[in-house]
Amino acid sequence: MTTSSRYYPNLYKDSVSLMTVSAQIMSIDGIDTASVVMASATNIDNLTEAGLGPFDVRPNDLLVALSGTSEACEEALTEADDLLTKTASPGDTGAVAAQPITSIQMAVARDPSHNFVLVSVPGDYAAAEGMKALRLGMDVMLFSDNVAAADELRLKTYARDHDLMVMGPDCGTAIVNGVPLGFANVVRRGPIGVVGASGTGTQEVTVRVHQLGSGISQALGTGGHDLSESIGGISMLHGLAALDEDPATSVIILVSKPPAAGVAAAILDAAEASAKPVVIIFLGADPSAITRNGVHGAAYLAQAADMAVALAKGQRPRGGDIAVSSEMRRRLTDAARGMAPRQQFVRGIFSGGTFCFEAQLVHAADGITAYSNTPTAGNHTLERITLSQDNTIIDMGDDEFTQGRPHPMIDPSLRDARIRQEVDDPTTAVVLFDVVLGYGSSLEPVAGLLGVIGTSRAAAKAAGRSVVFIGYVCGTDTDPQPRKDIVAALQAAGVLVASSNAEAAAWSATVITERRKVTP
Amino acid sequence: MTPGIRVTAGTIGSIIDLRTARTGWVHSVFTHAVNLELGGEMWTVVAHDGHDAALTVRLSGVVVPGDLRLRIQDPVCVRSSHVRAGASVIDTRTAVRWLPQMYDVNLCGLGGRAFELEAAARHVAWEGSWTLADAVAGALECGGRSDLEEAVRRAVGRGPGLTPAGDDVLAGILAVLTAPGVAADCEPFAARLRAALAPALPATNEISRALLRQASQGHVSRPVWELVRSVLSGRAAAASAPARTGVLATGATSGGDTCAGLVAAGRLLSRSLEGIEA
Repeated sequence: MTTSSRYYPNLYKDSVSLMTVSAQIMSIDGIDTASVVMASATNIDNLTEAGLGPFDVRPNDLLVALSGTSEACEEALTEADDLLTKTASPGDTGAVAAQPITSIQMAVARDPSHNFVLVSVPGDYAAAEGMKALRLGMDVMLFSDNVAAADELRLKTYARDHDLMVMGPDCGTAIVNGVPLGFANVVRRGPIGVVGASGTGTQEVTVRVHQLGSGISQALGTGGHDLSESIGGISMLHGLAALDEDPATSVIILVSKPPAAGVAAAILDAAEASAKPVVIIFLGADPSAITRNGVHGAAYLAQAADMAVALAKGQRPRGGDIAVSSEMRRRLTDAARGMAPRQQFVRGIFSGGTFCFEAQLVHAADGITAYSNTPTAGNHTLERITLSQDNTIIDMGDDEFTQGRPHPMIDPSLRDARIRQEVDDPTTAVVLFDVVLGYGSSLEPVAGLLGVIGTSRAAAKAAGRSVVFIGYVCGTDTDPQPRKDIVAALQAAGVLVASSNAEAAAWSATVITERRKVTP
Repeated sequence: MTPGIRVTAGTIGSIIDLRTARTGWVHSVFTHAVNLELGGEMWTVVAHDGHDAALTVRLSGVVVPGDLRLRIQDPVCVRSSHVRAGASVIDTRTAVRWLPQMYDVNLCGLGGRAFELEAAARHVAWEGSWTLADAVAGALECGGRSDLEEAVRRAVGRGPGLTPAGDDVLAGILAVLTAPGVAADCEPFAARLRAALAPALPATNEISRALLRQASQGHVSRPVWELVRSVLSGRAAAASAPARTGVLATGATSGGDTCAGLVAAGRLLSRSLEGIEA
């Protein structure tokens, strides 16, 4: 083990850059400690005390201090140097570099062929940026949330009048011309087009289509508020029309929670008028109420994908309930019967909001009501989001969990801690969770979770309890985090991994139903 | 000579003096901010979506400070409401001066509001900030001069960030102690903290020193001002959420570190008032 350091006189970098450089060099194999800090006297004292000094620096200097193997330190210093000097602004280097593109207008001026803009700025400014793009004749994806409803309507009305599309606000997922945008998965291109008002709902459908051997032509987002009465589904209707005209699309899937009644009617009319078969999943709505000529209602997300793939192959789509295989039912029943008397409840810990929603619906179909921070009809609001009660199914990606910290898809540590908390609860019978892969998500989504499962399971066992872990991994083998590797790691840790979110929830409901028989 | 550009300022800070001619130079350059050193003051030029502060010039339009093509040590000249930096010119003649809005203080429930702020900031702040904040507040409340000097010395320049976390903590404490409505009651605390801080300032970098000097005089950024207002005036949670979000989004941990200071000072204020009432 050796120590190394380098300092940069009078170099100022903003805090986010410092943190980014620090995290990147810390991840180099063989690095034990890495500090990238302003060389204030106190920081120098601390680093010296930690054995990383001495240093001959001044408070205005930027210091990189390391300990680790000599090869790793050398590599880290080179990388830090690269990151700190490559990204330097013109003023830092003493040279004027090419002007960075800092506005939509500048991007268009540099290359007039641009026709699509992804806006990800604080909500207060997103509408203005979106409108600038629309006025330049560009389609817009608004990743930003917290955009006022009046602004959303203004943007979408303008877009509709100019034959453009606004995806969002709060549109987190899209695949446009094969390019995943936001939180999206690497899927095969193919004949199925998707318009989704739900990010993880769209991910589930596109991933399932890929797994069934088919592919996606386009996956367009609308934002969760599009199907409200006030917006009227402007983006979903535009997306449906666009896919109807798209020669690469032969089947269309529409994904949403139940829309406002008037909006649902307009969408169903448009779907029925489409020249192509349309599969609609309005989560929680009765599929038979949706189904009509050329329009096929699905009961759950994966089923929507199954039906679309069948239609693309010229086959008859099949609906119905989620089936739990007899082999799995036997395993789950055996596990339920081996539990301690107090173990009665499911604890669903989700990073995908739509997965949380769907899991509640699946449990409700089996007569299992739950508490949640985002309860579906008939379920109850959790009194304290930090504490589960009875059956609890929570969305840890909801605002109250993510304010001031990354979404659990990006940083799953809070989700992992919550799972540990649930396993420690003597009333927990099942821990149900999702792992969402793809661009935008953590590159190591289960690194912490596997340890949590191992230690908490052992602690539960020592206390005479056995908890069933049921997981679902939303992703593909071509994602940056290959699904097969994640599934294999979870299975090795004793997790039952389902093929869809709905199936995972059905497994969980099977256990809880069995527990009710044992402990009425 | 690199060709410059001419831009217009949308707002200028509450204490910026643009009538007195002065010269200085460019201190540091970032994409979204440029610092100018002018006669012992550090002015900051930010983009239109940046935050107002006492010595900040906020540009209008889509130009960001990185577009000004400035280099460190470029000369700066202020004259007739124009700021010439390098070859670029910022025209402030039509700019609006940002003046912090005064407010009434309602200290009933202050402890609860401090708790809510801590819960929101807990995961954002650097982990060492809470201890530093408590140490300084504790020394202010019941420590002697040397205790306070030691607590401040341990905080100044400590931790990650361009403005080290400990400096943000101190700025947060000062933001509360110098806030309108409580400044008179808190002046003994503020005066002791200023006295302890002055000799410790050389230990940190120049940007952070400027932050602390301004905070010592009650000058903080607009989001911090509004957050302190919501905490001290007891505005409804919904009304205070944007201010809290604005502060917490500052830097990597800076916003959270500032909140650690606000929370500690809020509790100090709450306890000292209980003492007075008892």
